[in-house]
Amino acid sequence: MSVAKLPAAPETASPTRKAGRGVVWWAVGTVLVLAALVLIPGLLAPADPYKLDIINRFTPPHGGNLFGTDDSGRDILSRVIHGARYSIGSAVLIITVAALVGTVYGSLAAWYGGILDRLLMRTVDVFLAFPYLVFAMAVAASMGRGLTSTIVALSLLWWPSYARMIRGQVKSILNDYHIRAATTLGARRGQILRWHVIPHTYNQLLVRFTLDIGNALVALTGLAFLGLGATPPLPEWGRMVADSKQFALLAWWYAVFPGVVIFATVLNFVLLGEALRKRSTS
Amino acid sequence: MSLLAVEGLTVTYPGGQRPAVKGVSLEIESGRTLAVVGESGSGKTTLALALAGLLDRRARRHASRLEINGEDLLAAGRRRWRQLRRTDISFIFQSPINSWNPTRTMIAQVRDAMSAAGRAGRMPELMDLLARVGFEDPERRLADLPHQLSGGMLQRVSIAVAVIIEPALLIADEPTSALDSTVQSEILAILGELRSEADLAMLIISHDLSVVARVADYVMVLYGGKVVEQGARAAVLGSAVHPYTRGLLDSVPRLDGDRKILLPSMEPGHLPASGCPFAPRCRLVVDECRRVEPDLIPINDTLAACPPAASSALITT
Amino acid sequence: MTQGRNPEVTRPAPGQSFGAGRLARFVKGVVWLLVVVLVAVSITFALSRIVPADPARLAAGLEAGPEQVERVRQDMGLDDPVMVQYVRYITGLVRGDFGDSIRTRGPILDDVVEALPASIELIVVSFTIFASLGILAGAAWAYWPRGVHAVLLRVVAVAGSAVPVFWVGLLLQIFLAARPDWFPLVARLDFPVAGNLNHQAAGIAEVTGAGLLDALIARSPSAMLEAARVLFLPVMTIVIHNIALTIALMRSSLADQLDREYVRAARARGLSEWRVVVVDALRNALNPVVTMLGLQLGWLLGGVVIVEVIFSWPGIGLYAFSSFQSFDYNAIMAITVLATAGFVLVNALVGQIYPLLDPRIKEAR
Repeated sequence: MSVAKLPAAPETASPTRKAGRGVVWWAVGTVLVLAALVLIPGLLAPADPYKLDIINRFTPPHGGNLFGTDDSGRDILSRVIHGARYSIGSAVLIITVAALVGTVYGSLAAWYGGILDRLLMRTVDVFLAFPYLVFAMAVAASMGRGLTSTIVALSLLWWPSYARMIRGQVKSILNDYHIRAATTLGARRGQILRWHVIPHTYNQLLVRFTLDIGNALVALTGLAFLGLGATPPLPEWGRMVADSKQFALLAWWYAVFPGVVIFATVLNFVLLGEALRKRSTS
Repeated sequence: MSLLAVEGLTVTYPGGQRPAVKGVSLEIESGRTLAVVGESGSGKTTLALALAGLLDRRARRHASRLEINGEDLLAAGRRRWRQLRRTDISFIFQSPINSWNPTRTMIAQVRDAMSAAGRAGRMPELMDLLARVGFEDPERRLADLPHQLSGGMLQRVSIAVAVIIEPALLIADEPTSALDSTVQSEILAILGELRSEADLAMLIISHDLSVVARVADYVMVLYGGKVVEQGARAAVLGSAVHPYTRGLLDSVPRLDGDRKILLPSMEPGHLPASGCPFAPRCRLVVDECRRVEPDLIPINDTLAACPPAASSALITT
Repeated sequence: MTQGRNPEVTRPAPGQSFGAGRLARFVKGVVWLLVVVLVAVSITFALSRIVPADPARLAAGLEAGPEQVERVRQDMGLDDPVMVQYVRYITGLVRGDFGDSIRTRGPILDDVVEALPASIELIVVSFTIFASLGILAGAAWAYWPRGVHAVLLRVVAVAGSAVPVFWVGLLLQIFLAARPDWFPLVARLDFPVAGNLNHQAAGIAEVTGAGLLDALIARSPSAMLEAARVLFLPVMTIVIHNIALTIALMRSSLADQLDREYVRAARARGLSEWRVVVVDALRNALNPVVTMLGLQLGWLLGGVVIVEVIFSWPGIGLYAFSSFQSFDYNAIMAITVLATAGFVLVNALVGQIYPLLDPRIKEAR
């Protein structure tokens, strides 16, 4: 009697959806629009964001002022466009600093392991145990108000999560077969880290980076709303919503439009991040 | 009368280009075992799930006949199927560790199953049965969580729970392939013994011909969701005619070193849109095969879906 | 303790005492709490010594002359070396002395104790609502993945996570409170309405400081209704933002469990849908959700600041904000310490729930 085992073959996969290209264009578009807003707001804004015009204060939205005017008669749309530099620019800065510091820190911990790893990661745990809003308030109050101290506070709070993520990834990559193969073949440690380990973290890093720009924007504008952040007359978005508060009943558009812009921007980053995640896992 | 009778069973998943199971007909009498053989992706698990009413909600099922114990189940709802699974149909899954909730003790889950089947009062009998199938000290060990027991032990519990309700039909989907080979034969021996005692109809699914050879009365070979050959065990294992079945049989390593033709390079993922699903890998393929889906026809001692084999069979045998 | 948990898979040994292990874990937890708080204190303390503003100047008041400021500086010990000040502050903390508020000029601890009930009421009510609703909605979405409700829940989950809290609060005020006048606005300069329940107006005694609870103690249905009415908008603001994450995580977690083979196996054994979905799958799915809820509850301890400021809710968040506005460092540092300790404690307590949900996990640390 002949007896055989068939080789096990993978289940027939359902045809993978080709959502990949759309996501790339979406990401490129986002970057372009934001770059334009940050670099050349003067060309895009219909009016001067600082020009006072008391006679036309609290003008409801109309053809000349699409978002209406604020308590000093300034064009809200122009202020929102100019504000991108402070709001999104700061959010990107915070996350960039956090990602850089976190990547270096996390790679070091994973690479050297042992006592150093434990010491470094315990420090990270300490930072992750801070309630961020109160801590940011404490830092900002200590350093004095202003956009700089808010950026410092948020960066200080954000890098540990990157350190943890990168450490986990590097650890698992170091255990992979192709790293063992490279080590066996005599590659130097620096080479391995540079060419075989770090590139494998890019995908997840990009997803996280995208999602976190949205999160940082929420945190940043939230702090600005509390008066921690950009000082007047800078048209920072959260600050604008805060300023609108006392005129909320008089001019609904003053509160609504800057908020809508924050919401839309964060939503864009959240959805883009999710799309990137799907793309990198499929 | 056959206990299980199916005609023209077709199952489609949304997004799937071909049905996972296409036009399968089968009958099993009480006391008999049908083995369904095929590689991963051949549709054998889908077939098994369909016969127990366990298909995914998204799956589409069509059949011209589906009867268990003479009861027409074509229109049976979820409630009826659940009732059947409590009293008439038992199912054993491939992976013993994945068949149990990892966070609840075995005894709690076994009790759940027993009371669902209305046999909560028969726990002592189950303990006896467990002890008989080699599960030592069941009262104490069942207090453990699944991951604290070995695969062989867990599968013994699965089998005992499946058999204790005295089902009319026992479906076992690769019941031994996740186990070590020594444990495999113990489990097979237990299954065989319990089956012959209980006079139930058994459908066993396997990619392993050694399993088939030990337990089956009839063998059915699936490829790409279609039955390509079926017949009595001796006929299929001894004088199969379909090139796929022959490929399976011939790729067996032999002690005398006389190895025959292996199956030509296998890329099972790619099934043709029309014609015989096996055509791309077949050594007997003719143009006709790519155009027309062949039906089962009697060739020698089996039914095989391969007209070219009918002519070559005359030559080789 | 909050993160980096190593689930240790162990055999439970029935009847064996874990007393010693539990004590060791308790001690470790306390040490951890102290370390985290100490680091938080040190960072804020260090930063507060490189400040541009002069605390003595602020404390002395605007009309104070140079001599008065100098006297205040000496009284506050601000001309001692930094290390001396640091040690003095730490020893004060150990004795439970958080110092005096520069703004209210009373002991900070008294201020905090007075503000705490209002915050706890707000947090507990909001948390209960968004946790339970979120779990139910997420579970329903996972079990019935298609339909109008699924589209709706997706919108809530995505939009809720992206919407800024302060903006939601403001919009709710403008469009629900100010215009149709359905809900009480807040005690801002231009709106003379109380944030929390006005006990005097409601005619009940102030026992705990939390409106709902006091109304319950006074057995006054009208006061309870009023308390619920003042709670409604701030609670809704917190719920809208926080429920999004709960729904999304509960959905993905339960959907993942429902795809597992053991669910199919349980169905194959004839178990009812209720047993399969609720007793088996749902319980397993709750594990990551509980982790996240713990983090969110901890986050709320600080996160209520924005909501309390918008609605002038007289809680710890508003107190922190007012202290920050007047550069009251002592108060801010005290609140940082308390909020950090609360955050660590909440997460430690959440850690105690895991073994109940998943007996394979015995808390490692």
